Amino acid sequence: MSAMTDSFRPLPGAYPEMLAPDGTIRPHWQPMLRQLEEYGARNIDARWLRTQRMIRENGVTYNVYDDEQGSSHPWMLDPVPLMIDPDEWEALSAGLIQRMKVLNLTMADLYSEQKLLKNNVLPSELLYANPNFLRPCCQFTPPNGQYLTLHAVDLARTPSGKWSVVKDLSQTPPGAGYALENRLMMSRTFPTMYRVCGVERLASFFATLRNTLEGLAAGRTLSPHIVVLTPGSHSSSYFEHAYIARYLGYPLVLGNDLTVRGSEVFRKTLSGLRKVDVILRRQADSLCDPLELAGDSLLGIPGLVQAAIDGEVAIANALGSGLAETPALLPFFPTLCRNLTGEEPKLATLPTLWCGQEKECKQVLDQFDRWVIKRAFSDQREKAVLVQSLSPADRTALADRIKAEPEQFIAQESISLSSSPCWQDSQLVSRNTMLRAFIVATRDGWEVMPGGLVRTSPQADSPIVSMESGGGSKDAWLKARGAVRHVTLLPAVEDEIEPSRSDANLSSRVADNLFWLGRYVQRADMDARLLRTILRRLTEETQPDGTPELAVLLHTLSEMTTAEPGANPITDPIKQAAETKTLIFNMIFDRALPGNLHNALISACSIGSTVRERISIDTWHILDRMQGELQSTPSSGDLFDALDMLDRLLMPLAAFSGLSSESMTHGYGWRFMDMGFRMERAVMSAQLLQELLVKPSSFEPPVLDAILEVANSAMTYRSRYQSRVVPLPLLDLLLCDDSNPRSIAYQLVLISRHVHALSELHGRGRLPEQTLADELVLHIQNCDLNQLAQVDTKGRRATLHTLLSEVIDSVQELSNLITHRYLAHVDATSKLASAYGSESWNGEDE
Amino acid sequence: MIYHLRHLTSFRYTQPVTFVYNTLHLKPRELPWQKVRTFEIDIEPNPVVQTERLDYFGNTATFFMIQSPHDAMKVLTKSIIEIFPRPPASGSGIPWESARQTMRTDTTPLGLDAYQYSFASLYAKPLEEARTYALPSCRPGMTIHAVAMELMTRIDTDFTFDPKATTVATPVTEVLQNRRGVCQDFAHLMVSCLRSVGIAARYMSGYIQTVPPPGQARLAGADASHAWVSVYCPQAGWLELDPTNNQIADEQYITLGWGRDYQDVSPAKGVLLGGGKHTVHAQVDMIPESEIIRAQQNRQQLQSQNQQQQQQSQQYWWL
Repeated sequence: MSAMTDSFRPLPGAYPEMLAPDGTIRPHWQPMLRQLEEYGARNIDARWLRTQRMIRENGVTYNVYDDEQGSSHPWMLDPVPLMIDPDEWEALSAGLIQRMKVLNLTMADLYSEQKLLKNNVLPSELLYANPNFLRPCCQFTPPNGQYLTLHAVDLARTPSGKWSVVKDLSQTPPGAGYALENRLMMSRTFPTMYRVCGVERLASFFATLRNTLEGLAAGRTLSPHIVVLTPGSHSSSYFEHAYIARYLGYPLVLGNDLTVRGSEVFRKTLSGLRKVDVILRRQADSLCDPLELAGDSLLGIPGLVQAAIDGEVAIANALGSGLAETPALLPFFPTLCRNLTGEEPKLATLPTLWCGQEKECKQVLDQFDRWVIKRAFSDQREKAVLVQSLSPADRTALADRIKAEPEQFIAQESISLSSSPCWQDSQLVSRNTMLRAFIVATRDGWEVMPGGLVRTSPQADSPIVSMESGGGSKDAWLKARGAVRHVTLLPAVEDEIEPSRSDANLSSRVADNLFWLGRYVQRADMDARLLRTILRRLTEETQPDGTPELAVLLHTLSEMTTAEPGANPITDPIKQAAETKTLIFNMIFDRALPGNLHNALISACSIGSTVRERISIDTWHILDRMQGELQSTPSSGDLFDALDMLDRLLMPLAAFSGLSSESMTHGYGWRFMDMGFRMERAVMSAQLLQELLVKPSSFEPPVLDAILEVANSAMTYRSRYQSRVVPLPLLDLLLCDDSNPRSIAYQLVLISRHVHALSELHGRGRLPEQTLADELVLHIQNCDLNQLAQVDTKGRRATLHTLLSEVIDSVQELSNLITHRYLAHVDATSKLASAYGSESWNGEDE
Repeated sequence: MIYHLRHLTSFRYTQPVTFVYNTLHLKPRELPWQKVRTFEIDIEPNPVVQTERLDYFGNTATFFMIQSPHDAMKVLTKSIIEIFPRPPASGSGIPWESARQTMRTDTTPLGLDAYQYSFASLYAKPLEEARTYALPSCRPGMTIHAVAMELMTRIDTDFTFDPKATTVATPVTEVLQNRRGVCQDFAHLMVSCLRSVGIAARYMSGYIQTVPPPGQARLAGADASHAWVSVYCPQAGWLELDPTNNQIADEQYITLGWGRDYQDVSPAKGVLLGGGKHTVHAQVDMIPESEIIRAQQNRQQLQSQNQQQQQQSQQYWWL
């Protein structure tokens, strides 16, 4: 066809997605390829570079569990979509819908009458040896008898071209959100190609999901409160949880945000408890209720099973639905299909044998090389093993394990996955390919997402396809029949949404995280400024008489970052250059030192990632950039490198407060963040003044200069006084001047404003924190500067010390009061157990 | 036998508890050989929710929730239970070697129900160590019941009862190593052993009556929650064995319920918020009705004697 496809060769032995047997391009690929040609390789590269940056900056990530640093990996997307033949898709969809019907009926039977066991349709070991069969879930039937609301199926195409099921994902089926994000990126990067190809939209699928979720609350309420439950930001697909929540317009919650009271489930918000009607669950079954489901874990929402029994909350997918993804069920699907629906299966399953059956087990061991071995009941604990690739010793070991516990293993035929074109080094190359399809329940049936998540192998010769092993992903394009339907998730009738300016429904946990985000960002800012002040003095010759203030600044640094005081404190930083450098670098880079710059920044970023749906994209970019600055600077460099890094870091730090103030609505969420920010600044400024002013050295001016520099107020001082720095005006500027945004008074005034604004949430009388905040402001405004600046006979500014201590204590007290009143009461949870014998202890050892 | 059963469990916390979610398995199970004449349950402080349901295994589970801050909680159950002799095993049963094969092909409701107890559960897995311990009692051709009886006796001989040696969550491997534990540990161990050789066994939860030494009075609260084992033999049925006391469960045993292990049927399990450390104190009185009647008679005698004395003294007073 052209230069782009001329040199392209599909993988040998695999079904070629793009090429027909005679080497021509299959018709449904042609329009897309013509567009690629038109863009040309250089244009594609340029666009794609931009998209990859967008992916990284938007924080589209996939967390890898066994990664040592537990870090998240940027999402890998390939610019060439997988084209799907509409006729083929129709047959595939029918098969998927039939599969859903059968799986749902199977669940309904296994969690109630178990006729499938009694009638010898399924071997009972499949249930009894299966950790995904949760007996407490036999005590309820989910609303509409619907166990599976959203389901995913991994499909592979055999060399003969037949789509076959490799795996079911029913517990927390991941990927639909990534598919949507892929689609967004593709349509933004190649708008013309997307339009010309007439691709079926994905939005209708999510609209159906939303209708179905609302339908689950039918009969109980007309305007259901629906939440998305995530295990948290460490979860492998947390990005997707947040993404789906934002796309569907539901709050994203953690187990801690929910509480069972009576037989109802509530979400803890700033303004109190709000009843939850439907939970879109992204948390594994066994982590949902520590009382009934967890065995020996404490995670989850105690009482959730009881709420499900009482029918006060609908959970999608239903608790216990992990059973449907049992790999050992795969070979039984045809039998289940015939038995439960009277139909022949329309969609093939990849040949799979369960070793728990004698004949099948023998068959597996006899032709061992034919198979990929997987766990029979939970395929997440262990990776699939390709027998061919094993050493003789490992083969024997695996065979012995299978013989010892045959019911724990399945064998799936090892096939060459189909081959599709991917973009690499400015040309098309071939990669193994799998398709994850998504199915959502409707009022009376099922609907298949017109598209899906395509995953490709990292190299041409690696048959195992997964994100964990470094593979990539693709969008799947299905040409719409007729005109493309436009579906939007915005409500059809505008007046359905009542105007509301309040975010009083904000989850307490989110407010708590915003509060701490503010605190950590400000801590990082103060740390960085202090470090920069010190580094400047070490690297520049600023004063003819050396830099006498350095020792006291270094001491302040270790005090403020709660480091263990060194065995011999640094008295002469110039002579003790090596020790000084070690101290400074530890304060910047040490991963294990609480309170240092690294710690504050990493904490800010990790908290930021849990409230991403609450802060603007730009604010998130700033956090991301700060982390990038820190990580890109080697801790092996010299003082100048470190100083450069701090200079680069302080810009985004300064931008953070400005941007969040401009881009977040000034609701309660913003107030909590700003309050955290102000409290940290007040406390750290007070500590700084205590360290540097209370015991003045014989020659104070250089210390005063340094204070002004750390407090970023040198310019103001000089424009006001145009003289050498002396204590009294400095104290006025940094302590009492409420027009200086760096002064303690300024912080206290703003804190007090926030405290008063928050009290509206409570609505009953004057609260103690309001009184305390007002008193604190008055106290600072009325202080006697002359007295504060005075040095007593012991050489100390004792009055100043007392005042600053009061500020620190009172702000801490305010923080406690606020936390206690509004934020998540994350009480320690413990398990209670009666014991045999008469007396027992639980809790920590004495 | 008729028993008057009183079971008080008191929880005390070092810090106030704001929420408690609890599932109890404290209502004796209705059985052909066990009639529950009366049963009442009293929880303090008052739960906001308290519901009863049958769990998967057919035991009664009581769910309750307390939502007011408290630093102590009491659960008191009182019941009158009538126990009849358990029906004898119907036949001698089958050899232990064929247990697994026979059970897996039996899809009758009884067979299916029994078969599930031959699989691993959280606290009673068919471990290799348990199998090694069990094998000397599994000689060719022995019936399942014979194997189980011998195993029970060996556990009673080889292991020392020691309440200080273990906690609720001590794993079977540790019990096997230290050779010490309480009834719960021995039951888990025996269940593990049986499962490891392909025999279905379930964990029984209930009470055992303690008989005071001859001539001594019954001590209040001295009876105890107890755990033992029930073994399934195709064709012969269930046989209840108590490895702690090396005996077949008889009319001295009250059954609360059963499950795969302690986790399924623990008398009280809960999740609480706050509370710091907590202590649990349990007090069980399982008194045969005959003793109560005797005690009542004694008391009446005593009272009438007192009355006589009082009358005498009153008379004296009037003199």
